[in-house]
Amino acid sequence: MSGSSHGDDRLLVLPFYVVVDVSLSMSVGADDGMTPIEAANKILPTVIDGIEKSPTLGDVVRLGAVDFSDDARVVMRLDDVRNIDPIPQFAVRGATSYEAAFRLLRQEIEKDYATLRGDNLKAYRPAIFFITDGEPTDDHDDIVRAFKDLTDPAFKLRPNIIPFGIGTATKAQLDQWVHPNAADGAKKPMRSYVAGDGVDAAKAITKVAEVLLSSVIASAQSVTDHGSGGGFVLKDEDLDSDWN
Amino acid sequence: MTGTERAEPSDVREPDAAGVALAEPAADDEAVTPAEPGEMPPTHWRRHPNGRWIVGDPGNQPAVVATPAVLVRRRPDLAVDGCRVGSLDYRAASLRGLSHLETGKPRQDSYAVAVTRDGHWLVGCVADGVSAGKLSHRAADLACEKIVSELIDGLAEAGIEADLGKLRWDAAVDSANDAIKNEFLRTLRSSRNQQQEIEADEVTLADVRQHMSSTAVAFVVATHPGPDGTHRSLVTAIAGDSSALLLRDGAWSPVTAVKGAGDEVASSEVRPLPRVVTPEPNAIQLRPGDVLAVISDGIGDPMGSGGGVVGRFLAEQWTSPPDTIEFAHQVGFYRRTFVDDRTAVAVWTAAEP
Repeated sequence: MSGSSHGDDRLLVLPFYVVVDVSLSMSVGADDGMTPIEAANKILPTVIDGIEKSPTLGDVVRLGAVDFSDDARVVMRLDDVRNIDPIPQFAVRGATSYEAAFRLLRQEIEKDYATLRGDNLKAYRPAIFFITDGEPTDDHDDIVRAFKDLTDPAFKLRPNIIPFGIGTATKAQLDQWVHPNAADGAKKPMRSYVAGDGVDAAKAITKVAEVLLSSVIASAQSVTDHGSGGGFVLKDEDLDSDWN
Repeated sequence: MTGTERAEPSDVREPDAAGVALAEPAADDEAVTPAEPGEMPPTHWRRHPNGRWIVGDPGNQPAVVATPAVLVRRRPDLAVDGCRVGSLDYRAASLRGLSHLETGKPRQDSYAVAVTRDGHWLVGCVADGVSAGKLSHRAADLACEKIVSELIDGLAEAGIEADLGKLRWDAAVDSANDAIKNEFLRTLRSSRNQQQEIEADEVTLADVRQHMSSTAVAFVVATHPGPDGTHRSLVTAIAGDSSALLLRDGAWSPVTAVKGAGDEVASSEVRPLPRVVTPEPNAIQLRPGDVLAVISDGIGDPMGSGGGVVGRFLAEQWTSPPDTIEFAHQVGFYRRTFVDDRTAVAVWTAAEP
């Protein structure tokens, strides 16, 4: 995309990243139903379809996808959803490194925002929807360090992070990866969502798409209403306090 | 600026949570990227086959299908006015934005323009109802009506010699605040059981703002030039992010603060009426050929400080007062990602003979 370079000419962009745990346990599902990874693969098509239903939503929203296992990989570079064809798939491999995910996200956000800046776009702080079945296999201190880098107050592009837990993931485990965090006294804290025992993981994941799409719409509305004072809005009115 | 706040509990959102404006102030080299055949450079404007202007990239805006506003009666999607008063011409237009057209919400912007009975002063106000409130379009109407009415009263006796420094902005704000609160109470009472009395002092202005609130920017312009050839004028950003720019010799300059200008992290909290606030008027001397544009953020945001393609488009279109209906077209241009209601009142002073 090209644009004139004048600061007054900046168009607006709202970036969203879908981040999916692709550890092997994500391919283990209910006997009769979908596996979690199959459910995760429905998120992008559902959200893209929802964005395309509105003529103007696609003008402002950018969507990217990252997966993580032993390492983290970019599944889909942040882009206008109308350029995404075909929609990539998440595929399971190995273990569960949160550290790798957080480090790659910081790197990708910086890279993506440099591109947006080059296109003379005014981007709002990104939102990350982080889907995991818990039990990270890397060292806790390493994860904490990577998370602190990603959410460093000096990092201007620090994202809003909303973790979604299924399987063995617990609220206590996931709440530490929320940003901004109520525990730190944030005035507009984000939150985590955890599917309780007995909740079908695949069904829970399909709810992520709903929260993501509702949030995309609410955030676009916030930008319309408040211009540069607007930004990411987490919208989850269709979801119970958790998935119980 | 919105002036000095009188003491009142704050409901400002966390500035840090606001959006981040990341584009560096780049060199304004006017570089025009070579366009594909049939494609327009982003620094240009043209007409869409449907008659609307496109400024730069329209995105997918021409595909928007308008849906009626739900549960709102007698709220036109479009209002326009245009007249000559003394040696001024003015044009005004308020349009329901693409976002509201798409989602079935009413136009929440409003404006009012009036002339004092002696014909010496043109007075106006632009207001932008804050979306969170379902009744905010009414707040915007009331803010315009009451503020203009107070200013007209304040100028009624003094004639052309009026001391603009004596205008009672506090009274204008109080009048708007009272009207908005009373409208809220009336709506509340009519929606509740008659037995249940609601006392006015049970409801704070912050309560009212949850349901109906509005920005406001007002102006006063002498309809005839003074001995020095200029028109005495005031522009006052009373509340929120509606603003004004001056077009002089083909270039725009902001009269009120430009939202987010120069900020890396945008912190433009909207602090709307009803609210106890002491506005600070900006005095300007309009010269022959000047254009004063008083606008809602629906046009202020894509315009910025007026140095970009939207500013150039409007500067070119407004070298002289356009046809009134065409003025509405010029305010309603397509531009990717800018989908808010748009309102502009523009005042032209006659060029020197």
